[in-house]
Amino acid sequence: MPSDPDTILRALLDPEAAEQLGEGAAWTGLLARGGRAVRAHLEDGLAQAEFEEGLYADESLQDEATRRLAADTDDDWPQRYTAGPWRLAVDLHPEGGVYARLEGPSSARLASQMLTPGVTAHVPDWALDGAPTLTLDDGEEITLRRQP
Amino acid sequence: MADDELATLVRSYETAGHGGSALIRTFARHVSRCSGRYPHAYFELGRRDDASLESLTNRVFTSCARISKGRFPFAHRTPFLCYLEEEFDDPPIRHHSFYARLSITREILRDDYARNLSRDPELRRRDTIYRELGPLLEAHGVPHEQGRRPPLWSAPEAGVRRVRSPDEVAATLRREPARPLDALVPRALELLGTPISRSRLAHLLAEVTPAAEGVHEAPDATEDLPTRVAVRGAIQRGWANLDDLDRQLVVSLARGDSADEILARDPRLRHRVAVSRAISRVGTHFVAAVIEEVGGEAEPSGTPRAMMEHVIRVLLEILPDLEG
Repeated sequence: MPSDPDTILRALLDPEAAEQLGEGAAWTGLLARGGRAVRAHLEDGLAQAEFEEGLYADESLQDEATRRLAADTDDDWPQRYTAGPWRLAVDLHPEGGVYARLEGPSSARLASQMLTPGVTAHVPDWALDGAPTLTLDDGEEITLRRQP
Repeated sequence: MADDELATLVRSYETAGHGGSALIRTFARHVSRCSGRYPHAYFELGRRDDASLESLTNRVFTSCARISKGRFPFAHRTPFLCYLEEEFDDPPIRHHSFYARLSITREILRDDYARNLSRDPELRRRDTIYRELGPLLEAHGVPHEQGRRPPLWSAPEAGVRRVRSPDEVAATLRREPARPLDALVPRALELLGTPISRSRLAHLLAEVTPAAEGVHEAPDATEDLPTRVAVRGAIQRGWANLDDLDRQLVVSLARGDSADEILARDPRLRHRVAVSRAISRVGTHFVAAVIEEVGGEAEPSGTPRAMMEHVIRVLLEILPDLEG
């Protein structure tokens, strides 16, 4: 029976050495080492590879907007754009397109959608294609830059 | 909103415990649809039939209802709780549960496939070829990165090449003198003339190398059944005697979590005296009880590694929390 917390913690941190540290630490080390071996074996195998490739996944059953919500694209969103005093934050909407929230000195149009500062609005996702542009009431066009 | 059947059922189930049967029926429809292209090897006991689909549906449902997932968008919540809190309607629920490339359904299909890969001799041979291909492709191929998907591989550039289908390449290789794997790899890449994934190349080369000997056995037939039953029973009894936090520790250890992951997840492990108590219960009582049940050596230093692998395998099979 182990009694020394430091010994037990060392078994957890270093399963290879655990057998030298006493009975309880040895069991813990064996379980941790076995678990890590199983995990490494599975992660380096054919099943994991075909899973990551999406083999047999029928993409026609997915719709575009929700596909972009997938676990493998989460770090693309939200996106932020700036130009002078203007700030635009956009995030995906599950049904397609994006939500956009404008911060700045006045309302402005993004594609077909008029945006009011501080108000979140649904805009088509093509509004962000190329260099997205805000159009002010006087017709001035402001090109937004994507922030990293 | 019209497209809210799943969202409504999930909300009812999560908040009031109602509608579970209707939710499972809806799950069954989607699980059947999204698994339609998968070969038999991806299903429990190696067959896609009504029983395996029902089992798959139940496990997808259980995973969504009970198992916290760390990754996006779940953020250490159960999928159902995530769907509820994020106010998802049906498209994203369907996406993350069934149809996404890395969906919960596909995770479970992968796990069933991995188990079958270790049991069926022919599938195991393909998995072995896949593993051996790693260093051979590094030596003989050129990687083509695919974002977050595994890279494709091609022969080193050498002018214009004719592109052949994998079937054509397999037929050509069968006509040519037999080669060892390290010679087959560059020849296959050269004949293909276009990049291919490591997994597809493994299947291609499995077609042109000798099949596994012996009759394909049903998965359970390759197991030592008495030992398996004894280990399973001992683990279930030991499991019943652990409290929730100790169970989580066993899950973490058997799942192969790193020490950092274990320490970060379990608040007890910030207090060293509590560490001693927890590991004593888990290490000595739980695992030792399992070993004793199946007649293993009482001395930890004498425990056969194979026995521990057996324990891990049974843990992986019977503890649903391991999927988290």
